[in-house]
Amino acid sequence: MYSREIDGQTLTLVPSGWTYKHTFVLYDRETSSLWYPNKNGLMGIQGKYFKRLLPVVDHEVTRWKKWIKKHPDTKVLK
Amino acid sequence: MNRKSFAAIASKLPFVLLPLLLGVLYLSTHEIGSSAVLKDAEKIYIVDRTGERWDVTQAVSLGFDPKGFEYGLGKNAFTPLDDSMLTEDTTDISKNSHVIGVTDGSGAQAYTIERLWAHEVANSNIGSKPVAVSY
Repeated sequence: MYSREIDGQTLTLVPSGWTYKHTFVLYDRETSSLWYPNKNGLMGIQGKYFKRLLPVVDHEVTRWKKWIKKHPDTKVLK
Repeated sequence: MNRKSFAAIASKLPFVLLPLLLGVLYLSTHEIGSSAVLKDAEKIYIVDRTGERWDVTQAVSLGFDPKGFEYGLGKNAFTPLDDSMLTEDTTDISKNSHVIGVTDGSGAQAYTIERLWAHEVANSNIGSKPVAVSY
């Protein structure tokens, strides 16, 4: 999970249709910059936000039964 | 060459042509993944299957190999998800489903990896903070 806010601009990240080393390359609709993940976040590899970072946002990867137990009021995208 | 030996050669032709055809087929299917690369004086482009050119000059300066970009299915091949698909209806999710979960001061949100897998990315918001969820 990554922030999609940079320099006060909110980006809409969408798949570019390309993969690189079996990893999806994303682009943003606002500037058409290309984004590729590294351990710190999404790195701008082409375009207006070249060499800029959309940092990782703290999150948890878990199983549904554990999540719903801890957060019974959770919303979900399923 | 007499007629008899011509017939003999002709009858063997499928044995020569078939491996050749298979070879061509093999090469063509194994070339499908990688991109067509165009270069002009200053810029390097890759071309996707819809014919769109993507400038990757800066990416190449970072060490990306233009031939390493694969598939090139085009911008509209996947529909990204958004918060209109977030629901409070938590029924019909199997207990062992993998999810990505996030919390802020006010609430919790989860995204099933199964759904993310099919759409690649969700443009979401945690409170007022815009985030992209991908897996």
